[in-house]
Amino acid sequence: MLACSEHHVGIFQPAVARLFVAKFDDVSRDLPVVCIQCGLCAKACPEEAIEKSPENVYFVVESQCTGCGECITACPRGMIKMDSQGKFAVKCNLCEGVPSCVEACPYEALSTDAKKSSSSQYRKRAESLAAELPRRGRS
Amino acid sequence: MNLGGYVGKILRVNLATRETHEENLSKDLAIKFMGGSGLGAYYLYKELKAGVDPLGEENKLLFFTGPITGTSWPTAGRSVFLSKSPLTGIYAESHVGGFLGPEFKYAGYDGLIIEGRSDKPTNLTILDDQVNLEDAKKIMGLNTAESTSLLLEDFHPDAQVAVIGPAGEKLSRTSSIIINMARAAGRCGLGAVMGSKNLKTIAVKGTGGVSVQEPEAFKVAVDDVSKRILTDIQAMEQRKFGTNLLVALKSQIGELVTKNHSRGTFENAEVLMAEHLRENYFQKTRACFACRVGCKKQYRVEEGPFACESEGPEYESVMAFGTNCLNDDFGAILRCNQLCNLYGMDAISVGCTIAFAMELFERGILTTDVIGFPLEWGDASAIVRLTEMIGKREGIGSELAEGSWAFAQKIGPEAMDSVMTVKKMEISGQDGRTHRSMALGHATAARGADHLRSLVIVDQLSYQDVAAERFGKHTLPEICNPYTEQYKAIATKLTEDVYALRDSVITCWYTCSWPAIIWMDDFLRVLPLATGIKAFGEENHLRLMGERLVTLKRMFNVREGITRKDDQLPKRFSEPMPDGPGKGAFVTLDPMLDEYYELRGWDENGIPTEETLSRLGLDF
Repeated sequence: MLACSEHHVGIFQPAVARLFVAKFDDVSRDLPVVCIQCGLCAKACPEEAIEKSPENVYFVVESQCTGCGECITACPRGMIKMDSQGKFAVKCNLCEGVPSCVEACPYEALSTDAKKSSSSQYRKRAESLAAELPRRGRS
Repeated sequence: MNLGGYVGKILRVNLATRETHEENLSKDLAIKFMGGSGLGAYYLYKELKAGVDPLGEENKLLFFTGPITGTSWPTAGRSVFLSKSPLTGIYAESHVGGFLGPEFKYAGYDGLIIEGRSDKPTNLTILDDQVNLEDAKKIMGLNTAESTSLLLEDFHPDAQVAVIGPAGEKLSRTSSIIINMARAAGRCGLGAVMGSKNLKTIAVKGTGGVSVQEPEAFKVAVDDVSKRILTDIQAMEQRKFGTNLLVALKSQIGELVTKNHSRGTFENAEVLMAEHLRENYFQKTRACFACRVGCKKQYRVEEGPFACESEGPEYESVMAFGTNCLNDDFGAILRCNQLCNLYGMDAISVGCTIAFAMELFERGILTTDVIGFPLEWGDASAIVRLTEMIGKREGIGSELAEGSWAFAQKIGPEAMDSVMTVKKMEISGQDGRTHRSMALGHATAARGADHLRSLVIVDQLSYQDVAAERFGKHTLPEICNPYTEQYKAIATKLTEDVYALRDSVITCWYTCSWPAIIWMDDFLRVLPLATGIKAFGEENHLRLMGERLVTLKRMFNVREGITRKDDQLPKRFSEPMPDGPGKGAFVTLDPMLDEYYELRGWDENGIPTEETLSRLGLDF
């Protein structure tokens, strides 16, 4: 989150990061939640302001965005925010290349390589943690 | 204030008048005292009158961050609580990792000063500039995990919460402040300060950020030091095993604190060593904010009467509830550590107080009638039971909750031979007999028997190259011999100065002290990049600041009547070590004290001279 905000806005400000780490201190678990580039936001956008790159990464064309917030409602992971002035939507664009979060993680917990994704045991645990999020007041 | 790193504001909250207001952080103070425990100590010294009751209305609770807190600097998650200690009656600082410090800065504040006493149970909630005092009645009496969960539901799901448990509410002098459910500002009994103020929690959510003066160069410096951490063999061992590595290391030099600090080895130590714990109980690694080490370990004990899963214990808890009580049952240690987190108690003080009570039982001074059950060495069930009684302040637990020194005073002079404290604080898991610089550190540290303010770890672990670099080649080989007093005063003094900076910057023990990765050169490089303050790039300025901070904390204690007569160790340490590799070793403290005072510019009675105060800019 630090690397993300540093990359995109130049300061250390986790509140504007384009990913988040949900913390479950009561069970000592952490769940990083990242954009999986599913494209539901692009489908929901009435202005066609979210486009897809040749690498299948969805990005916001700021000049076309009206700030209506349809994409925020559409995102199942709560990954889209408005910029600090509320003018346009902000989402993960994988830093247009090598994501800074992946580079920064010293525990190699983040990867852009789908083959490295978690074993089924961890996936199951992650899913059960994710199911907990709404109950804890997170989208 | 136009500085990088800092956010420029101090928040002042008066619980009696329920007023809150912001003050600007002065640049001059930042240049002179840095932040963290340095700046906090300045405010504490200026604002507390001598002799105030630690649990009275006049005492204050301070919380400070440093200029790199909340940035991407490795281990920039540390923060510090300061106050006058209810356990020791002198200066108190208690550091904690986790995520609270950065969140506080994102809310827009470098420091917090809490004054007065609320007439009803209160939560302090901070959402950026919205600072509120809310009714805490609903969570009073709940343990720290339950309280934190309710705050997250009621206030903000992503808040960081500092909370006291039943121990702090009941004003136990061994109570702690818990954050993230398993991180503790453990020592000095600061939970009781919150309790005495009727303050149950401090919950913070910040949406702002921290900027640095020169982002590009800062990033290069951070990448550079991260790389050094990630390729350091010992740091990676720490990542795998956590601080429990020390059980094996200390066994090797005969410093594994055993049987109420009477011995230096424990015959069953193997089952408490890090490799054994990892093989049998390890679940998961967790890290504090921006940490590249990740020393926190989650363990689970599947079977037996103490089956449980919990974060921790650290080496110090394994010592306090394990070796120091002759207990080799890891389940019981894990359970006691969990109880300490839930009730909000300092694991070192509570575990060592139980070891002390066990010795009194062995000597016939405490009996089954008084305790309610026998308290034999190594009795795991009795240790767990007593820990819970201390948490609840039930029966004899209520008196032990006040700490070993207070308990010994109550019993009488015959108990004083068994009490292992310095300045009323339970001695941590080191032994000056087989780690001579630590003897001086325990004797002189500002908050009492403290292993964190000056621990010269390079002698203990024989880091020859590091020792030569820090203290000069001429100090070899003696400096790396933990069994001799030679060069230990100079090593203690120089190390303590740098650690005072470490605690003001604030960066974590692990990477600065052990393993020895971050040191003066790194501070000189990164602090000007973060803050834009050029003086932070001058070695003389930082070295003088380190000295200033140590002497400032001493002045707080001098004002409370502390002199050389208090810089003493229990008699046990001047008697020969009975066992292990250091058999026969004992501490000769006085020559080290003389040398240390001289190096510090304090007189032979341990009082800083006028000349020293003026040299350090402390003549106010």
